[in-house]
Amino acid sequence: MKELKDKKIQEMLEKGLLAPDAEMISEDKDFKTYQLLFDELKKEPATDLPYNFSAMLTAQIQAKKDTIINLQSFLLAALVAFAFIIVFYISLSIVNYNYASSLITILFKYKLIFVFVLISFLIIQYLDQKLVKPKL
Amino acid sequence: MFNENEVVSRIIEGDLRAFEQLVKQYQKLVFHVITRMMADTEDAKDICQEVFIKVYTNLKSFGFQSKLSTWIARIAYHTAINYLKKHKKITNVQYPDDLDQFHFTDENPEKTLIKKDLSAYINQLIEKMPVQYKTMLTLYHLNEFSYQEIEEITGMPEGTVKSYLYRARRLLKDKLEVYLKNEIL
Repeated sequence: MKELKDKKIQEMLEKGLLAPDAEMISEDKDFKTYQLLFDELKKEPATDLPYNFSAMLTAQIQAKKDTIINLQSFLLAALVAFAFIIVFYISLSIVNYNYASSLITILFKYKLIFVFVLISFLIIQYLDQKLVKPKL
Repeated sequence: MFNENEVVSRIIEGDLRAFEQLVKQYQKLVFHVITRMMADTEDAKDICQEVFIKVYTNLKSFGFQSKLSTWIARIAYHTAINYLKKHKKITNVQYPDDLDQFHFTDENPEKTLIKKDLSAYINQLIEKMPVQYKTMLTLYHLNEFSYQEIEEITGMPEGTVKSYLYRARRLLKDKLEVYLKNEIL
């Protein structure tokens, strides 16, 4: 019986008071308690996100987009540089094959130094992105 | 005036200022869902960020099948559930066996200080409730979603939503009666 009454009161408060028994019901103690509860449940909590939350989040997404663009630009530049080296070697081979062969021999002789320089350059670029550029 | 269609189209085209507008519009909704479902609010800000990043990443697939608020609330709800599952704070989300048996335990004497502030007291009671009850109270009363929208957000049938909401309110009302009686005395 009590459960049915509770259900009825909750439904009435969800839909708004309905005549003709509205006045009678509104004086009921259970109804008043539920009404107070419904009013309290609508109140927003005191805590909230920081006022600049949206700006911070947008800046974070922009920074990630910039990183991707920078990486894409870097890879494109690396590809272009590599293509340039290939074209340079082919051109040199046409002009003076022996000189081109000597150049390749020197490159392979000191390959570890060239690989070390390239890897160092890549590490510096990576650390620059991660540590030097300010985190937002 | 916030125009959903316009803002979503601009975000998909890459306009981050439109995304900032969207975040401002819905950050309270997301914050309320996340903080009510989490007992520990320290991670709430990070989880809210995670929700909006998911919104940004998946906006192309939105398709206007529902209201934008419902879609965002759904992402927030499921992100919170996954977080709680990952940290083993809940196991069976939708139909836990012991939900109908839930009752408030007696408070410690120290906590009776909170009773002086009705809002704080209600919030304290809600915090003690199972996550399903907290979710329904938040989505219905605080975020003003309809039963149908809550069904879309949580994946629970409308009958279950109504049942959880009814029981949660009844539990709170019983405690409130005792509180008001003590206040009068």
